[in-house]
Amino acid sequence: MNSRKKYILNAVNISHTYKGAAQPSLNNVSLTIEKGELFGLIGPNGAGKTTLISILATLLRPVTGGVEIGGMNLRKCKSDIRKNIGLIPQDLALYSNLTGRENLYYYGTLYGINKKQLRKEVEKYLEQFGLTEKANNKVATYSGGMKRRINLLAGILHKPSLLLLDEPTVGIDAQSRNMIMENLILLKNQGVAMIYTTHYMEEIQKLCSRVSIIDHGSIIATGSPQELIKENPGTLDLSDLFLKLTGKTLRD
Amino acid sequence: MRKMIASIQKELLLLFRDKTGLILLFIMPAFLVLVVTLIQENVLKTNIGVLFLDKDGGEIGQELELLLQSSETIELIKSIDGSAVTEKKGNEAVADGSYQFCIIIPRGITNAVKKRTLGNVRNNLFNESMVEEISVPKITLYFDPTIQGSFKVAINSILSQVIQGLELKLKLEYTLDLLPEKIKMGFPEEFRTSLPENEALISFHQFERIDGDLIHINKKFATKRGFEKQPTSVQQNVPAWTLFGIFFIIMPISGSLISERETGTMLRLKAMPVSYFVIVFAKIAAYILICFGQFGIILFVGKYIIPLFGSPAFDAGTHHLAFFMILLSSICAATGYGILLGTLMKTYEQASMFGPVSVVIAAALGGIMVPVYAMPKFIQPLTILSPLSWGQNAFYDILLRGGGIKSALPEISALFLFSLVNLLIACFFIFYKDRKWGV
Repeated sequence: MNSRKKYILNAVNISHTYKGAAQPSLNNVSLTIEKGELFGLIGPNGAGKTTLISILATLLRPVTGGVEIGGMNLRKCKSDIRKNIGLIPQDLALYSNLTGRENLYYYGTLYGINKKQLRKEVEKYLEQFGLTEKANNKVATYSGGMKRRINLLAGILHKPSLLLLDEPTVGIDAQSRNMIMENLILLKNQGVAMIYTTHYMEEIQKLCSRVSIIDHGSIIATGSPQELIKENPGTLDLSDLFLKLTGKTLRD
Repeated sequence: MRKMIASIQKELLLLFRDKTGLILLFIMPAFLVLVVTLIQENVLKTNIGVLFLDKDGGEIGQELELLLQSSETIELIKSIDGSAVTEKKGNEAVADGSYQFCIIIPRGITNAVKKRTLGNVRNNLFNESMVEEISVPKITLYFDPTIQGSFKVAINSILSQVIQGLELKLKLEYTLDLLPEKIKMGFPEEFRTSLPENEALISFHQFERIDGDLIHINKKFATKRGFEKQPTSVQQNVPAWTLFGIFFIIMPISGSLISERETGTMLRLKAMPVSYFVIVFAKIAAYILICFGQFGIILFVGKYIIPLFGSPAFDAGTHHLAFFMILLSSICAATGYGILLGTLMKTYEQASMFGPVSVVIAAALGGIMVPVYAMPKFIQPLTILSPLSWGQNAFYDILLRGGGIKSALPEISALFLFSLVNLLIACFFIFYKDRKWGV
């Protein structure tokens, strides 16, 4: 399969139903992501974004369909895949009583990065994300933006080939958001593929070369933001398109 | 191995950063052992203040007062706030808990007791019925409604002992007074005048020279193996309450698991190339280290602080391997239970209610608070269910019964097994939850 060289992620017809649920949370979803591609995934609450991210992060097993990440089958090579992916969860998955540096050293060690390399990477990224000065302070004392940046760093120290970002800029100021986005572009330029979920449409439009809109467990549109807007006359931007395709009914 | 060491370091760092948690982990158990041991060691050794009112003022009241004062357990108090005790004041002071007991000697008791005793003795010796019917004199004992049964029994028994002693003395005195008359009556009339006077024939004072116990109680600790040192209650209390303290480790362990779930760190850890078992076993290893540190402090308290309060020092005995194995197996049992609790409880609030209450129940059932033999019969068979009882028995085996590793082995095995079963159940539920989510 040619895709092994071109695509970092190849998901074919994946479905998933939570036990006891009447409807599937994912229904025959297929997705391909190229190496170094920044791919947007948007959808209303409960559309299936987190389920899809969880499957790709090896936290959930698809009921049907197959997933290959870096040419490795998700069912067979879970441990190897975990070495090659980075998960940036929506929650600030950090130990608040440890310092920023200690959090990074801990997660880096669990990724199996050797001591010398880890020290180098930690200091480099702390500097790059403007956190060196406060690196020895407890995470509990950080601002929301600093926490988000450390949360991101913890998932990229091991240089993953696929980064799964679940709303990484929720609740932070414009400066921190800008820094995160600039650094994601840097990572993209270094060849890291990313799946980016967010409710901020302007972020998708700014960062992503392609985007999928997911609703009720199915992908209802995929393409570049510009193409999708063009294909749907009367829509001015991605937000318009999103509301047109998913409707205005509240999803709680 | 690096991942395991990093995880242990992380757990220890988190614990040492939490100052309140540290106090709870290290100081509270040591303080608990110190306080409870000193209290248990000195129960009934402190004089209990007892209000005393002698309305009679006669011989019997004075005699009772003297005898009660000679008791090491009681301190008689005859005035409240500078004014003499009255029955009303005494009753009120006991009712409001200012004092726990009040003894009232009724007016006329000396006369009544003497007449009753004399009548009683005459009835026995000469088969005479009492000239006048005198009702049984009553000493009133008021006690605080909140007083515990054992204290009530103790004071009641001291009072009864004193009354019995006094009764016996009076009966003997009257019997000896009347005995010569009885003896004389056994002789024919013509010989009676030649017999000596009553006092010369037999006198109570001759009997006062009889002293010393007739029967001595030889108190010995039963043993199959012989003791190197006589057991003290410190030897009982320190290990028992140490176990109680160790089991409270379930709170930080379960709390740490729940917090990792709630903050999302567990989710991140599960998506990393590290086995979940490394995370859990690192947690167990870290808390085992903490528990040993905890025990080190308790040992220091038992050996060096408790003796400062006049109690004997704790002696860990000579079976060091057995002691270590009991400690290790108890710690493993506690950490295993903590992991299970952290897995099953959904929130910290649930764990913080269920965890400590379950430990207190296990401690009560295990005989930490009340000895098993003093429990109701229907509860006694349940003590076998408490891991604290296994730990306590194992410690008693080597510290009080002169046993070694062999005698403690069944309990040590049971504690390790308990830990394993808890971990297996936790694993099952982790697996079950993951299955539920379709992993």
